[in-house]
Amino acid sequence: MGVLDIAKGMGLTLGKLFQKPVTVSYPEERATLQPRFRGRHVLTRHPGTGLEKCIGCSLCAAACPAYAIYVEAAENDPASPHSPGERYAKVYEINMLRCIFCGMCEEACPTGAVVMGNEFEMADYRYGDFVYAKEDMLVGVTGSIPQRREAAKSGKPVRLGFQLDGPPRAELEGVEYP
Amino acid sequence: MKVHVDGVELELPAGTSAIDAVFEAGGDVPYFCAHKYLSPVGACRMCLVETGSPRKEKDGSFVLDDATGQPKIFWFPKPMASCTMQATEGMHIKSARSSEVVAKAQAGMMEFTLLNHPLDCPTCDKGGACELQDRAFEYGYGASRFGFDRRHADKHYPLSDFIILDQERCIHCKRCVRYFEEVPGQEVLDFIERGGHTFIDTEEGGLPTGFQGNIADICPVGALLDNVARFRGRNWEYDHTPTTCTLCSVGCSITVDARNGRLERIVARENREVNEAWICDAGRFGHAFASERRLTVPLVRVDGELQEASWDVAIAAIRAGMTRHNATDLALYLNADSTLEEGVALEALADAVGSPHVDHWPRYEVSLDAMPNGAATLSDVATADAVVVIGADLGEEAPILELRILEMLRGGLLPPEYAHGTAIADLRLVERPARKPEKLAVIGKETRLWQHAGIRASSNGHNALERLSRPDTAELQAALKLLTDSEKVIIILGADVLNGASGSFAAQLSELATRTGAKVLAIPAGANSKGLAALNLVPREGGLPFARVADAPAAFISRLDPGVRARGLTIVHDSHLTATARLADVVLPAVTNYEKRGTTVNLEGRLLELEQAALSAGEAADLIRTLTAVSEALGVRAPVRGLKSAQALAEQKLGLRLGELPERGVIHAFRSSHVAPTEQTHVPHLWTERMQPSIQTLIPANLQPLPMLGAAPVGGDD
Repeated sequence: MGVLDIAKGMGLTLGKLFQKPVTVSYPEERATLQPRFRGRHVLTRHPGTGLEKCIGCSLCAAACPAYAIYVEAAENDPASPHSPGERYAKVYEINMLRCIFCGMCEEACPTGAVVMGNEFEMADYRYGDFVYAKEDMLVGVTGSIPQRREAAKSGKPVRLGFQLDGPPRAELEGVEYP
Repeated sequence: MKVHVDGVELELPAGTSAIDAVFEAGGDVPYFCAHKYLSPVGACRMCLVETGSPRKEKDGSFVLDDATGQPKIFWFPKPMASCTMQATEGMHIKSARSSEVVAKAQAGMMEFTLLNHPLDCPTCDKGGACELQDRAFEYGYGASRFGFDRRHADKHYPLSDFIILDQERCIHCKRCVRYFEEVPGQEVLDFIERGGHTFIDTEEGGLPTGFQGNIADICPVGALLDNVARFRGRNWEYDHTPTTCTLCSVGCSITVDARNGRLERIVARENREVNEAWICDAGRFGHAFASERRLTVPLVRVDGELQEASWDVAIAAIRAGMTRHNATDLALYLNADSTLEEGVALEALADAVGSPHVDHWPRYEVSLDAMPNGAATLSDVATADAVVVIGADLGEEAPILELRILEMLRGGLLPPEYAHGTAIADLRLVERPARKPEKLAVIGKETRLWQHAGIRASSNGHNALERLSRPDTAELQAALKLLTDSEKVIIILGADVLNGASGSFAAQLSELATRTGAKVLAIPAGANSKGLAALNLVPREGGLPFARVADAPAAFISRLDPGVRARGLTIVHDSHLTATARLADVVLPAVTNYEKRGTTVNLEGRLLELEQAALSAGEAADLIRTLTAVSEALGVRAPVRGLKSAQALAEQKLGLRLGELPERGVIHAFRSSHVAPTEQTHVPHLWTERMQPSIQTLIPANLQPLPMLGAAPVGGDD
């Protein structure tokens, strides 16, 4: 290795010094995610009727390799149904500590109800707070449990630590990330 | 009879159907309408196979193939339904394994079957255990070429409180219709309309109670579903436990399906010799008590109030309570549906403490084990020439026995058994079978069985037998004539004659049985009375029977609810806070029979195994473990400390090896060792209040259609 090679290497280093850095100073700055990033699940609703897409069929729980999903179904009240058809998910829980974010649940879902969203900031202190219920995942809920707890305490809206380069993917029907 | 299936030569008994021939050869044929215990009708057309037979010349020799010199096979021009086709000597059968034509025909048939099927498998409770789903996956094309809209019909049509019908899902296999006609003999369901408009319904609305739940088991699709287990879990989520039902003395084989520690569903399991494939509605739907309002921790009375406590505190409370009594004062009572092992443990403890007050309830005072022609089995009943039922309300005492009697009336044909199991299509069974009511005589109060009996005689109490021996009316004379004239006769005795029956009754019965050659089947009072009677579990010298529990100085009462307490310390061992438990000093939580391992003995004397279902019962314990705790409190070394030692002791006492029984159980000639007066009568009652399921009544009678999404689909929706 000659002097020339060293100079070439140093030159490259010097060149990088003047380029725009790739790193972002998260969490002060928002990280830019790809729309296909697999984060916290979203339970979507039918546009128009606003009924839940989930029918409580438990196929996501059957497909889950980490046994992270628990579903309990019940009969819809025809006067005020939760979902179209006879059946809806009375209990829908995902243990985010167990979840490996593989997206098999999304693939198994026959109605496109459970979709992998982009949120990922779920760090918390107690095991119990990692079990996300239906009301934590239905479309329209922004932020994870700790983020919403923080927002409620401070009175400020939830601040997500990421942004998307464009709109969320089509499967995330009705989801908007601020 | 030699039959060639897919090129394999088989030796089969005459009368075998083509479908059984294929299964016997290790092959597979899809079918929906055939059922092991129903007549084959060929309604679904899924079991198509190619068949051909050799033909004989006028002189009896085979028509030979010119090319090979072998008998020439004359093939049917089209595939044939194998469930209604009898295999004949030299027949050749080609299933989908060796015939393209059959594979194509079956896939095409599957396409037709799915033509109007809604494919709402994700919401359907049958999903995952559905015959249509499985066969469509195995034999279907995977896609449909029919682009038009599917039939729309009522998707939420409750046939009764327990059975819900989805008319869209029905594939018209007619199993349910045939079941009601052939098994319980009730013509309630039928097809209405024709072609694609066909639907099943009842005329009057509602289904007869008793055996309606079985149609949910046999429905090959999710059209008829168990309303009690509706949406409680998917089939792959349940923990399936094969066990034995102990609500009555028949001991039907069941599968208990639990999820998250709750008993959600019970389905019938096949046991050819006991319940075939059927169970009664009480056994199927009456399981609410197993998961609701259970006692999960011991309760101890402190300052007049029952308070939750640990087992150690409960044991200390018993010890403190027993300081005022001798150990011999403690009366020990157990329910007659307890397992044989539990009975052995209680007998051993009673021997160890020397208590004379021991009893099991319900029981009768008479032992009918020493009958001249032996005890009848359920298969004997089904194949008998005549049956005389005396003083029994089978609907309350042994419902499945009623089905076996009806099986006898329609010819007593037990389907043959092959290596692949019970024959799938028994060609001797016919649709709408002619019944022979003259083979059945019923003596006693009017019950459901009356409508099937040719000879009926009203009678009360146990003098019915005496009246039968010396008939005073024309009906009784006819019944006695039926007994004497028929070859294989069975006398079935129920609670009405057995209550208060004494030794002279046994002698009289024995005399009648000798005279007529009849076998006797006495329905025991409790689920395991037959087994417990072989142990010394009756009041000993100076002991108090269970009827006089209120006079006992102190009592341990296991899963019985007399509604009174003993004079002194009262210990109640029960799964629920019963009226007796509320009066007790110490309440110990018990497990139900769905959560026990052990052995029960049914009315034939058949040993059947209980298995433990995955139900959450907190700190509840079975009788063996509870008695260990009680003996610790009494300061006695517990003679039996677990299931294994109970089984070892049972082997010593009865000469039986428990714990390794075949699936169908084994018949053992039990002898009642001890008989004692009961001082009360047993009123059999199958359904109790705590068994009533809480059925969701969300659906109003005037059901509005649910809002569907967007516009109705145009064209195909698959």
